[in-house]
Amino acid sequence: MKEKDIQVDYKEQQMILYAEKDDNSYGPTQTGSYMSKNYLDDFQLKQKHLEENVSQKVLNAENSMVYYYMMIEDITLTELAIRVGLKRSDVEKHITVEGLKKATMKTVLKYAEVFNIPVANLFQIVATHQDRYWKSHYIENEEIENGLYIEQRKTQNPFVVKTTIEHTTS
Amino acid sequence: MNHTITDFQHKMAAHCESGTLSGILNYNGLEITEPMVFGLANGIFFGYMKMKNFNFPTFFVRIQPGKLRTNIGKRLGVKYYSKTYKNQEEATQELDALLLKNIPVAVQVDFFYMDYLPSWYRVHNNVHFITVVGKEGSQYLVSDCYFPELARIEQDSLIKGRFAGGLSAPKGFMYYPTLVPQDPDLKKQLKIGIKKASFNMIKLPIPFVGIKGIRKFGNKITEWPSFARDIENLSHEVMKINVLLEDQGTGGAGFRYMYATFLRQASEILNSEEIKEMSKRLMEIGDGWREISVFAARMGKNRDLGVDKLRVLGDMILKRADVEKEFFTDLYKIVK
Repeated sequence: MKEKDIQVDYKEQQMILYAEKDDNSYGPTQTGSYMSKNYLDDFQLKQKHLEENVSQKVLNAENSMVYYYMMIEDITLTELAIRVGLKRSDVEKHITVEGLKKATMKTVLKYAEVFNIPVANLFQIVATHQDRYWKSHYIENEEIENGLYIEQRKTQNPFVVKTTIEHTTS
Repeated sequence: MNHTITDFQHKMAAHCESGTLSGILNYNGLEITEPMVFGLANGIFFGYMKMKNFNFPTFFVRIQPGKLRTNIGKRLGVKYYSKTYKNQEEATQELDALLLKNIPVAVQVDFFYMDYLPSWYRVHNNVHFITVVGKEGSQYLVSDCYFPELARIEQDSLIKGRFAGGLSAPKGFMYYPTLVPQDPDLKKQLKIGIKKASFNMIKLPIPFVGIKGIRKFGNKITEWPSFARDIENLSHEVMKINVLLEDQGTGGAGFRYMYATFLRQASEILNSEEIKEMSKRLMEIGDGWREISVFAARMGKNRDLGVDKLRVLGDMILKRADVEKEFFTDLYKIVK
């Protein structure tokens, strides 16, 4: 592939590809991601639909928030079980509301740690400014309405997160 | 603690493991390019399998993570100090102590926690490599080949990345070279690396790796709808073919462009017109893989995912198997 044919103008995601240069030598070239430039909107749309779908299951009490985060972060039951240090069958129970009732607080904390979220978020659906750090379909303009947004800050206490409403100008 | 190794030169690279390794070897006085690391270590490969840790079948286009480092050790005589940890505090203390001694340290992390990268790009993947080159207060300065400049990451996030569980868990793994030969005999080792890579592609008697793996991929892709929960899920997985071939650190065309660059560099060292011709052939083979990437992305975007269309995609992949079989057979004969 010629270097000029591989170039994509997309500064948000830069990468190195190897290509044939003008002088016929081969070497690295820095470029933007073709995939993100052309298809990121489609990916985010699919992720948004997925979130709506799993949120509804949580709201209908078909599933727990463990299921919600497992799906959004695209982790399988087996992989999640290894990461949390439980048997697959335990995690299978914990993705249901009834099953999660029987989990220990230590296990719940472990789930929060693996998902990289405050433990409080395993008991609520909340869209915060911190979503930008983990949610693959985070779109800033949608989150901030009327200049207000929810800020969530970690504390020294692993059970407690400080949640405040902030103004974009503050 | 506030300390930065100022003479470490950060450079973007195509792939995290080869880029990290070439960066750290360069720092230690051995001038070696990323393609040379990849090729010498017989990095090119293909495999297709369904693992219980993934919802979908997946393919890989390089040898096992960590092998580039160990193979470079064998080929060039590089010695490393490497260690895994059970205790997070001990791992952090040792890392800080090494930084104070001006030793850049490569660490294995879960990519998901590298929050200086865009969120859409980050997935749970435990075999990402970065080089830690400094610490300022609660933040580490890291050289990540996928980021244009030195990045800052909170200690908390780095620890999470280093100690994530799951498949290929990093367990705090870190390494740095302790012995780097400055003038290794490349000629012999280049042939060994090329021969091994060709052998892996055409002769390994395992039905899902090498050329057999490419064929399996091409033949099995029509079964993908049976793994999908809905059309959008299938679209996502088909579009991931593009991501795995192009975006996730391959240098384009599933490492074929990088390996072609390696062959070009090897041809100059070995003064071999034959290998130079092979590099050109592989660049063209890579273009075929790139066509597959673009085709898969468009299929996914258009939700045009019927079995007939998947069969067309499968046939494109099978064509790659044919040309790569010829290519690696010829390459094997040249270096045998």
